Amino acid sequence: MAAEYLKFVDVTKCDGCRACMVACKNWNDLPPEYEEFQGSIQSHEQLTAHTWNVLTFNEQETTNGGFEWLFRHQSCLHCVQAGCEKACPEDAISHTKFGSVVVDADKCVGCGYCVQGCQFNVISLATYKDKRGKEYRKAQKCTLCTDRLEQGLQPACVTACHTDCLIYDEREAVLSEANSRLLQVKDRFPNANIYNPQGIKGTTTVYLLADKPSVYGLPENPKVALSQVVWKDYAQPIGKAMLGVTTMAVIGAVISNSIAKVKNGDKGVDHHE
Amino acid sequence: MSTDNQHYEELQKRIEQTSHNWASRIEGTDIVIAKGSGGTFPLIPQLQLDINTERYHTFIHELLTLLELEQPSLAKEYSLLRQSLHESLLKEWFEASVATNFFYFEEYAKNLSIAKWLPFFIAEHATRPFLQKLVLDHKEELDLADHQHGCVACGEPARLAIISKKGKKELICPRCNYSWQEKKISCAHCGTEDHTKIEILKLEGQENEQIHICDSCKGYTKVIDVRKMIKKESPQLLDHKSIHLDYIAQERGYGIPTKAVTH
Repeated sequence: MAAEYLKFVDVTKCDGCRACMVACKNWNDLPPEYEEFQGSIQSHEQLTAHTWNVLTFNEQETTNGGFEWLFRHQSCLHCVQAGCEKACPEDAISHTKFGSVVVDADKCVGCGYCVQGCQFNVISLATYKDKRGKEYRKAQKCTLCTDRLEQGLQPACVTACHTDCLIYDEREAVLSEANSRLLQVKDRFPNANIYNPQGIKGTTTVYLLADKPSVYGLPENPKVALSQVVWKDYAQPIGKAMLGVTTMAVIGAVISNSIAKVKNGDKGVDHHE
Repeated sequence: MSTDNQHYEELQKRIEQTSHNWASRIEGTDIVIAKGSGGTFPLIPQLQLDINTERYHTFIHELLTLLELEQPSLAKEYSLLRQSLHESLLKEWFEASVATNFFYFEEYAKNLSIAKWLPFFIAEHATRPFLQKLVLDHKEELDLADHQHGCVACGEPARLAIISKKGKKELICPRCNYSWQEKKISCAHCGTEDHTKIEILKLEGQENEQIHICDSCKGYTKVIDVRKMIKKESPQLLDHKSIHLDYIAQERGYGIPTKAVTH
């Protein structure tokens, strides 16, 4: 189901301040992660289980031989048809009424299928230790600040953005703004495009990119693997239904056998006499 | 967080939608200013107004119809009120409502043997669209006034402020929608800018809500950061939804200063 509200990321307005990253860490109480220098001013190489949004810095040569940064606020896109959700064998990943894709930590068994299922390399496994020192893993990723949305507040990254690069608004308003911004930036960025891939029935985070998706490390036309769709949408429900039918059949058989046994038992007594 | 129950909040939303609809129906000829304020503020209570009482009557009837549907248990009281309202009384009602004359409405309720809050509640809501129209018509004049103690348009004491998109503290009147800017560290009641006298109370887990309290005049203002909110609520709904902030401030001994302190 398409979300009523969308998050819009207009990368052409981003100035790379990273306030969104700080706000995310702050609100979600995520620990800092120290990384080696990667040869770029990008702070983290990629999203991790404890860093749910990263500002990517792509160095780009302009047509006149100049240089410019292409920034992108990278976080979960909250796909309408989410690969992670389809891959999860425990039904631990689901959509909320806000269109956000969230992980139920109680159901997650840390199998890591969701990590394989996500085409955007967003979801990862965090390792924790319980009181006895036993290690266990849980899938972690951006929640679109669902806890804030429930309180009527915008996602933390959106409230921190000072250039209005990040907007959270009604679907129609966002899509209209995206189209009008696309027209405005076409002169400067001829390859500019709106990234809302229909192969996965759209996303709850819509991007206005200054260049082709692949330049930003995004798949051009992502699709959820057919095997995952068949597994999740057909095989699993049928399997569960079959399990129910089988269980009912076994229970029915036990009951009917018991009744028959009682009747036969009576006859047996008569027979021996 | 809100202390309102869900049903009451829904009712307020419906009243607010109805009121919004009324505001759009008021025409320029519906309010005639018979006599000006003579440059004194608050402006609207000083004006001598001739309003289209037929429209005012329609608003009252529409509100009563809405309430009859929402609260059938009070249908008898609504019916009594509806029957009592004659054309000749409407002007009186409007004037008493503009002047927030509680005594008049309490007496009215007493005579009809109905709940004492009811006539004022009805009159007040039907009056607000007229006040809002007057504010729009006199915006420039009001902006030039010295904002003292409360709303310079209708006289309502200041109690609610928002942090607007530009990050400014904007006091807003939930009655007539008039808004004016104040310094962030300043008291809306006595005007002190002494930072040692002003405290900002923040609620745990409610990052967009604050209470600005003043130890100089013992006044308080609820401040809502609407930049962080998904839906932009009307001042009336913001006021209702933040009623828990009033409780917190009043339990700590702060209130709306009765002494008219100016700044």
